[in-house]
Formats: sequence, structure tokens, C-alpha cells
Amino acid sequence: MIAVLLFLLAAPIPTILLLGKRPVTGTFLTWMANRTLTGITIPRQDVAISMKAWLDGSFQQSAQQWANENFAGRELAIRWFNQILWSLFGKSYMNLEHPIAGGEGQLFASQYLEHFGRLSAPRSDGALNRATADITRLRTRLQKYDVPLVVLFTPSKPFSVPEDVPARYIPKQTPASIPYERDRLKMRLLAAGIPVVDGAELTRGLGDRLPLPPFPKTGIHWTDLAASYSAEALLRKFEILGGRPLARLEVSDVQFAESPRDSDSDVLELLNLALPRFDHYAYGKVSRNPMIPSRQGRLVMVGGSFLFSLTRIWEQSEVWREIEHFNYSFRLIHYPGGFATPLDLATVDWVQTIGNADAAVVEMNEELIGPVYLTRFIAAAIGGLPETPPPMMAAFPESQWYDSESDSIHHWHWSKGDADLLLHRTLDAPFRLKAAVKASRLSGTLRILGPDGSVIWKGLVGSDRLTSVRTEAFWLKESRGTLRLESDVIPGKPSFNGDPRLLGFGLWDLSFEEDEAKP
Amino acid sequence: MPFNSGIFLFCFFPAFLLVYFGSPQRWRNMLLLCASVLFYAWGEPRFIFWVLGSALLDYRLGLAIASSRLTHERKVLVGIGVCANLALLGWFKYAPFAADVVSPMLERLGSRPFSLAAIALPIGISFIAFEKITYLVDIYRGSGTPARNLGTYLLYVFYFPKLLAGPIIRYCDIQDQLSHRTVSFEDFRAGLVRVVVGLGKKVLIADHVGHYADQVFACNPARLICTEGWLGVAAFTLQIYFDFSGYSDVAIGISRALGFRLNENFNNPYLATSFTDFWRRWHISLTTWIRNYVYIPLGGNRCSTPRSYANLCICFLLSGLWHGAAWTFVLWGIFHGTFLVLDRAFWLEWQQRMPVVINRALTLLLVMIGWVIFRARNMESMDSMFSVLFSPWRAAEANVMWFSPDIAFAMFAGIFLVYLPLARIRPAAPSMPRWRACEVAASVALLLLVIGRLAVTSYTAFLYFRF
Repeated sequence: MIAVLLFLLAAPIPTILLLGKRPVTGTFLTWMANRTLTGITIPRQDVAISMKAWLDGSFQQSAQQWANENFAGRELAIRWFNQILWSLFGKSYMNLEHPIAGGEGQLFASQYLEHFGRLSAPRSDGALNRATADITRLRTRLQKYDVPLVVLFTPSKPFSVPEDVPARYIPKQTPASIPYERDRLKMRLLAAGIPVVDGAELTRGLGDRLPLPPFPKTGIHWTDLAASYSAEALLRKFEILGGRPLARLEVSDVQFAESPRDSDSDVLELLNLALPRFDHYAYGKVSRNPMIPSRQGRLVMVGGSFLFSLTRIWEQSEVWREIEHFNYSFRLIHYPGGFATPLDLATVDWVQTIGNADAAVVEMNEELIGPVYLTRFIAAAIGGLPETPPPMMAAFPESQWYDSESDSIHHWHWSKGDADLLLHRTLDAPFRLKAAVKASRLSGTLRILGPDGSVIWKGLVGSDRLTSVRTEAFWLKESRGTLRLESDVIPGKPSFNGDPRLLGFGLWDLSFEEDEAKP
Repeated sequence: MPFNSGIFLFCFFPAFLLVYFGSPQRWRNMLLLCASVLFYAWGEPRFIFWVLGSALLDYRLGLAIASSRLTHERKVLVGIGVCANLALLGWFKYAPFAADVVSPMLERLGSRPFSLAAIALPIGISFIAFEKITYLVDIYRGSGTPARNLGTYLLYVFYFPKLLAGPIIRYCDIQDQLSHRTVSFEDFRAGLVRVVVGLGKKVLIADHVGHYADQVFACNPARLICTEGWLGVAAFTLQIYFDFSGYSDVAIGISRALGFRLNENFNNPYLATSFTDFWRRWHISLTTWIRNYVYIPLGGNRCSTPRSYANLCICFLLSGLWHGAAWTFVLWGIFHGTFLVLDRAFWLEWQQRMPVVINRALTLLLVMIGWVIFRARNMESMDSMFSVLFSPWRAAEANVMWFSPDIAFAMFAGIFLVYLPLARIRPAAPSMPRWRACEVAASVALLLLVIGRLAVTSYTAFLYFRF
């Protein structure tokens, strides 16, 4: 009888599992709630049933994957199986078995350990020389655009807590006898005159300045607190290279908590365990010295996930006007806002994006020196930046202008009201601005003020036609300056044709012409 | 559609059971046939037409052989059938290998190189071809009768539990069950328990230890030390047994739940005391097939000693080739054939004087060495692997392999299960309800673990994508 009952319980299990597929989040007994899993997965391609899809097997493959991914209790099953494996054996199959348990509850990712333990093949001298040459070429090209470039090395966790590294990853050779790739590349970069901020060395040297180690036990990325020192070091480096004052960062009000933020427990979360685990985390308020104006300049960075901490710090303290983060070579993340778009290196407007930036950072984690994506990025950037830069470039600050628009003939920007044009010259000469202007709804006047505040153009702008503009000549003393555009065309109502935006005036086909007269 | 996939466990199998047992008895064969055709068409949507065409031919030939009274005509008919099946097998399984062998020879004579690598190996083709041959040969020999109708024959060919990896069934062994079978609740219960046990063997042991074996056999030999090499071989030894026998368990279990009784395919092969004993215990249905349809027709034991040795070697050479089209499989067949000859020549007599433990250990060691040949990607990697295994003092560069505690546990569990039969544990009264309840409860726990493992392997997530 018991057998029959147990059988009745057991037999329909697969059928029951088929009935529901949505993860259920429990508010009580969290341990048994069917919580959504953590991690980025490659989305499944749904294949419609057709004779072709059936014959080539793609429909079956898709259906098979669907069935594997959609059965009730899947999330719970994964978490509990992970928990059993992790508790009994310290092993996880998540993230292609990358999470590794170390001593004292430290979690690592295998690629960092393999690099630390010298188990992964070291980069050859030739590869490092090529990486140095690539970066030198990019720096030389950017110098022509007056954009300082700094190489940032970010740290790898095992070097910070070598005592907790599992024994099988302890390097057999003494570190002094064979330098790691970071040291080898750094030596080459410095010899080539490339500015370097060694965030790895800086972080390891912080010692008692941090209330807790620079890496949380449950994560593989540095804490924002530790990263803030590298963020500050980069600003100082750019200040020297650019000759312009930049914000100074200060850490204050350090607090402790048991709940992680951002990437503090990224490895732990990726383990997708059933039972929660805690660590101690320290957070500090990183603030900008108020003597320096906020949101100055545009920064372009290329690199990986360690840059997220830096952007968080800079965004919280409002350091840069804009940041463009080339996240490896597959997406571009724009700050403020953190909007990510898929990246196609071939379609990037390199002159506007990096040639017209105020600073550029190339990030390399010490575990991933001379990566392939960087070679691709540099090749595309150099290919897209003409050897002779345009004599004058203009940027439209996002806070004052809408995104650019264009048709097959014209290219224009609508303002959000009075607005600045940020100029960046590479030729020391007077210029005139040439464009056409138009009001959104009501006609009004527009004044353009030169870098010294004098009016260099004034006129009426209508809503029904374009008015040509050719300003008086103006001259930028520094390589960077601002033109102010003021108008009594105040955006108050949504415009025409159902466009919901509140538009000020539009600037059509902006260009600059070099003036003959010398200042 | 593998048995250990979500689509089988959560969709196909429950739906099939529901419809099958909810239908009148007279419809069940048709349902089973439809499900089996769908099952095969799922994995082999193109090749199924070849199998269907070839099955129609076999069916017609079977009827013709049975009705013919002329020996010569019967010989021709069976010859056509056997050749057609071998041609199918030859083209899809051996043509690419043959092309790889012949092409360089012809190249030396000035011909342009060619390759047939584009021919995909259909799933289960070796099993299907061998079963279809038995049908025709048994009718020819008079030991079997043709199927009552085409549907019954197609059901024999396509019967899904054994379709992809056996056991190889003779039509005459299953003929009566195809027509009349009954299924009791006990059969159903025991069948499902066997299915879960098979899945557990496959998913929890074979896949776990196979993970390590894959790493070892894929590793650069310069980075392997002897111990790792032997651990890898041991892992593969367990993997192949638990994978294959687990699959057979599922096939036998499903069949039992449907009222069929299939013959066992494994009988504790790693407890064998000699190669002869090993082949009585390992893939029994294949050994039986080779004995009945190759060895005996070649003369078997009734001819001279050298001839019978040669027959043995031929049989195991064919057995090797049956397992795969590569030189490593040929060598593996010769390896086993040679030891079987040695068994006959003197070893079976000599071993009587040695303790059983020694015989078992020696046989297992040699079988493991055979698995190295079987598992190696090619002759070069086999050679490298042997140099690792037999150079205990060689130093190696560090590697990233980790003989993790879960793999060690799975290996330990595998070894325990291999040797468990020696303990001769038998339940006092296996038919007692309490014992059955325990069995079912254990199966439920096992099933949950299997589902957990399947779910985990189906979830590949990353922290961040990196290219």
C-alpha cells in the first residue's frame, strides 16, 4: 500500500514539472522559493515549425532547449543541486565552472587563479611588443587630436589575498624569477613614453587605508572604495597631461553593511545557491571637491567590467560631463544614464567619439593583458581617425541638446533651450561658425556669444524657414572653448507633427571656416 | 531525443504514457509505432526515410524468403537483404573512413584528393542494420517467421526504447510480445524504477566522471602526469560502463513498463575473470549477434584450431569496426580478439591456478588498456596516452585539470556499484510492500537528483560576456 502511495507520488513528477514554468518568488521560507536565477544567458532562438526547420534539426534543437529551460521548479532544482554540490564538494558547474572556492570563504574565478598560478599560457614577448606598438600608435594619433591617453591596469583578486588561493593554483616558480605580463607590458609602455596608472599596484599598496580588503570575499571585482583611489589617480594623471584642472575625489563617511551592492557579490550570486550567505562590506561616500565645477569634459574608456566601479564613482561625484565606455568590443555604454547599445566598430564616428574627447583610458586587467578586443578597437579607431584632424570640432552637450538627426542632405541638432557648443580646435587660428538656424514653433532672436562673451552673431530665426548664419571670426586661446547660443525662443510646448519633445532652436549643417585674419 | 533530455523526460515520455495507457489495447501497437517513428524522426529527420525504405524492402524480402521453396532463391533473397543493409551501414558509417584511407593512396597515383566527411553518421544505424539483418537471416534459417503485417515489422524496427543504443533484439525473441503482452502494476512500477536507476547511472555517475575523462584525453600529453593519465582512464572505464548500461537500463525499464521483457545487456562486466568472461557480460546482445551471425557461419569451433582463432580475430575486428569507423576501433577489436585467442590457447587453463582476485584485477587492467585505444581520438593521441601511462616518473608542465571532490565521489560511487554484487546482498523478501516502498522512495530521491543535475547543466550563464 505504501509502495502504491509512493508510486502515485513519484510517477507524475515529470508531468507536474511540465505544468508550470514561471519562477515563483516566495515571500516566506525564502530557502525554498523558486527564485529567478542570476547570470547572463545567451537568449534562445525560437524556431517556428516548418518542414525545413524540421529537416535541418533546428526546430528540434530549439524545442529541446525550450523543454530544458521551462519546467516548473527548474530554478529551485538548480539552486538546490548547486547547494548540495557546493556544500559537499566546494564545486560549482555555474559559469562553465569558473567560480572556485578559496580559503576563508573567498570566492574566485578560475581564469584569475590560472593566471596567478601561471597555469595559463603567458603572453609572448612578441605579443606584448605588438600590444605596446598598438597603444603607441593610438596615443600618437590621439596626440594630434589633443586627447591624452592613459593606460590603466586593474587588479586581479588572487594577488590581493594570495594566502586564500587554493593550493593547486599556487605558482610553482617564485614571482621574482618570471615577471607577470602586467610588469612586462608596463615596462614596455613606460619605455615608449605611454602614461600608465597602475591600479593593480596602487590597490595592493592601499593597506590600512582601506577598512576592509580591496576585494569582497563574495566577488571578483574591486570594491568601489578601493577603485576610488585609482579613479582619483587617473584624474590627477589627466590633469597633468591636459593642463586643465579636474575634480579631486575624497572618501568620507565609511559605513559597514552585510548586504552587498553592485558587483560586491557577483561570484556568489552566480553560484545560484539555495541558502543565503553573508559577508561584510564597506561603503564610503566619494565626493568631489566643490571648488572644481562639476561635469567637465568627456571621457572615452575601453575595457572590461572593472571600469564599472570607476564610472559609478565618477557619476556619483559628477566628475565628467559624459563618459563613453567601450565595453570590450561588443557594446557601448553611455553615461550619464548608463545606456548600453550594441557596438559595431565599423560604424562608429571615431572623430566625434574619441577624436573629440577630453581624455581616453585603455583598461587592462592584469589577468587579461593585450586582449584581442583591444587590438580590434585600436585598429578601428586609428582607421577612423584621419591623420590630419579637422581644424575645429564641436560637441553638443547632452544636457542642452537633443540627439543629432539627419536626412540624406542635412544634419541638425535641436536645442533644449539656451545651449553651449563645446569647441575643440587642433589648429591655432581664428574661425567662423557657419550654419543655418530654425525655431521650433515661434520665431524669435538668437544671439551667439564667442569664447570671450562678445556677441559674434545676432539675428531673427523663423519657424518656417532656415536662416543662414555666418558669425564673426572668433579665436580660442586654449585648445578647448565654448560658444554660447541664447534665444528668446523658449521651448514650452510640444512641437509639431506629434513630436513630444520641447524644442528650442535647431542648428543645421554646422561647419567652421578658418578666417584669413590673424588675431 | 536522448533519454536524459528535458524534451523526453518532461514532454515525450509522460505524454506517451498517458496516451498509451489511456487507449484501448488494440490501438496500443499503432500508438507505440507512431511514437517510435516520431522519436526517431526527431533525431534523424532525413535518415528516417532511408530506414523506412529499407524496412519495406526487408519486409517484402522476408515474405518472399518464407514463401520460397528453392534454396538458391532463398539464398539470393537473403543475400540481397543483407547486402542492402550492409550497404546502408557501409555508406553512412564507413564511406568517410574508407575515403580517408583510399584518398591519399590515389593521390600518390596522381588523383585529386577527395573526402566524404560531409556524410553524417545517422543515430543508431549500427543497431538498426544488425536487427534488420537478424530478421532476414532468421527467416532464411527457419528459426524465425515473417512479421504478421508491415506495422508489426515496423514496430520491431522502430521500437523507440531500444532504437538508438540497443539492446540488439532478434525479431523472433520479441515476436510474441509484439502481438500479445500484458502489463501488471508491478511491471510498471519495476520498469519505472529501472528507468530512474538507468538515468541515475548515466547522469550522476557517467556524466560526472566522463567530465574528467574528457579533460584528460583532451589534455596536451606534455601536461599530464602518469597518475592523472590513469585516473582519466579509470574515469573513462566507469563512464563507458555506466553510460551504456544506464542507457540499457532505461530501455529495459521502459519496455518492462510497457509489458515487454528485453534480455539483459550487461552482467557486471568489470567482475569478469578473463576476456572470454568479459564478453559474456559486456554488451551481451552484440556478442550474441556476432556469435550467431558471424562466428558460427564462419565455422565457429567446429573447424581447426588455427581457423577458429582466425574466426575469433575476424569477429572482433568486425566488432571493433562496428563500434566506430577509425583505426583505433580496428586496433581495439584486434586487441580483444588477440586476448580471446590467448584465452583459448592457454590462459583459461592457466588462470585456474590463480586466485579469482588476481584474474579479475588482471582482466580489468587489460580491459582498461583497451579502453585507452577505444577512447583515443586517433593513433597519435593513443600513442601519447600510452607514453603517459607507462612513464611513472615523467615530469609534466602544470595543467588546469582538477580532480574535484565531486568527481572523486562519483568515481567512488561507481567503483562501489561495480563491486557491490560481490557482497551478494539480497533483500530478505523483495516482494514485501515495505521493500518496494523503499525502492520507490529511493527512486524518487534519485529522480530529483537527476532532474537537479539536468537542470544545472542546462543553465549556462555568465557574469559578463567577454570576447
